[in-house]
Amino acid sequence: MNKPLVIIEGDHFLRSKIDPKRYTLLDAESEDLMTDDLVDLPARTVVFDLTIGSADEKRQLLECLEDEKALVYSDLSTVWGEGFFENFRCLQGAFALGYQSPKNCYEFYSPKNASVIQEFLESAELKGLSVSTAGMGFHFPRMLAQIINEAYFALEDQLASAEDLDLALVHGVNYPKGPIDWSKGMGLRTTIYLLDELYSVTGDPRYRTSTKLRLEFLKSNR
Amino acid sequence: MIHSAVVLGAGTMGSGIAQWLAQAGVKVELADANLSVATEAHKRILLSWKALLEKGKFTPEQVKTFEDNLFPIETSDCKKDSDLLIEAIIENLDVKKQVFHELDLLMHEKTIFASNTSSFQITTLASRLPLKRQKRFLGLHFFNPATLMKLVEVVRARETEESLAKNLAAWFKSQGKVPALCQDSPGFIVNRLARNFYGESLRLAGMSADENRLKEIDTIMREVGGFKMGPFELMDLIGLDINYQVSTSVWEAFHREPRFQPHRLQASLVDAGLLGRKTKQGFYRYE
Ligand SMILES: NC(=O)c1ccc[n+]([C@@H]2O[C@H](COP(=O)([O-])OP(=O)(O)OC[C@H]3O[C@@H](n4cnc5c(N)ncnc54)[C@H](O)[C@@H]3O)[C@@H](O)[C@H]2O)c1
Repeated sequence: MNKPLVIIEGDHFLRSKIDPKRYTLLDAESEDLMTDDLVDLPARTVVFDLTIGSADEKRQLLECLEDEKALVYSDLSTVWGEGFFENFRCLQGAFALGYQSPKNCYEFYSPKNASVIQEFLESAELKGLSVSTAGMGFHFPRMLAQIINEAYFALEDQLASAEDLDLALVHGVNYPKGPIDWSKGMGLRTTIYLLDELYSVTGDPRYRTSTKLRLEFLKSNR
Repeated sequence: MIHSAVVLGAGTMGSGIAQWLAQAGVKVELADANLSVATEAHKRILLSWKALLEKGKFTPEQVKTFEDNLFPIETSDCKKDSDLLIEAIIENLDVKKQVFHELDLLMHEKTIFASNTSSFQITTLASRLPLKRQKRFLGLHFFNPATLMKLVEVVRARETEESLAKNLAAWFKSQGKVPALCQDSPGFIVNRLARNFYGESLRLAGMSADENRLKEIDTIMREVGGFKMGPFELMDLIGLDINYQVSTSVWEAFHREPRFQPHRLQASLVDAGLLGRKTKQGFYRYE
């Protein structure tokens, strides 16, 4: 049996935790990722896709993996997971590692092969929590994206400083972290990708992204 | 900076605020619409200090000082040149405005006026007072229980002197509170930014309110998100009626901005009288 393949970005928080003896690592930044690296993957190779991408980027990658007849477990924290499962037969399971958990515990969905994901998460010293649906951005990512978005709307309105917004939620309602701090820790693109997907799939204006969030994303480029 | 204060309204918030101020070394007068309410609140605070003394949280000397700092009074008998007046009466705009009008005539012009309102704009509350008073008028939004919750939102209204808000924030900080300076906007910081914790969870649950689904969302928010409570158990604790009322008031104040739109499930449970723990049934059943 081939070693499972892990597709991961260089700055991913799990990068150093993936054991190269157990997994083949593939750099997601590699320019040839779609064309060369994945072509001629032996059929039924288990692939853990840890990339964080927009819905289009995810679709492209999964189409490529589908062509190669891979068995894919993918990070679907920023996309409409439920819809992806309908579209891609290669998908065996999904997880939501894109949104930093203060308890090192992450949601996953895999009705058939839960143990594969469970084992993978354990090998990376994380806890997994099996959930009933990958929904749209699972549960925690979707809730947090909305909390973060509102914090950026508040910045846009000059309601308070970023520090005071964070302090207020930590000390007024016992949040484990302030939303601005949280968003920066995991990179702003995660939130933008998910909000864009929520908005595009539902058409509901409650998912409109704050301009301030987009602007900060352009500035930080992550 | 603050040596003396009057707290008007001896309910949940007013008595908590008065207790905290007395513990911070401020001479506090606690008043209500009628003296007996303030006297009863005073008794409860004394009992609370007694209990905290027995638990070893405070020394007998500390408790003696606290007791010497707190007085239940009739509003008209208050110290007219107190440093600070905090209003924590019933959440009714007309009543609050009338009370502030009367207090403005009663109190010295140097006294800082503050409201603990959760849903009204501070600028609206101050609007009919003389400009001089408006400059010394702000929002001080405490959280329940005020003796334990560290946050105080320090809200600058349209005319509030910037230095006043900043100096008060610095004073709260020096007394161990965590002040957050903010503009006068619906829900201030917390009641606005925390809306999605409830609103989005309701959209995840949908209309079915299936208990297993609610439990799943609560568990995820605790175990993955690291929140102390999940959204549904928290709404049951707060009271669905109160949560729904805050949601509606923020939504209306933002001219029905879709981000704040309340959810039908919330409304239907409130209409059915299922308000949470206090009615033994809300999202969950309690024996
Ligand atoms: N309960 C909370 O969690 C909370 C948190 C933050 C802010 N607030 C705000 O604090 C204020 C008080 O809320 P509460 O929960 O303590 O209410 P409460 O009902 O416990 O207390 C209100 C008190 O005001 C008194 N009162 C009514 N009209 C009065 C008048 N004209 N003059 C003097 N006293 C009068 C009542 O007798 C009562 O004792 C409200 O503005 C509320 O929005 C409440």
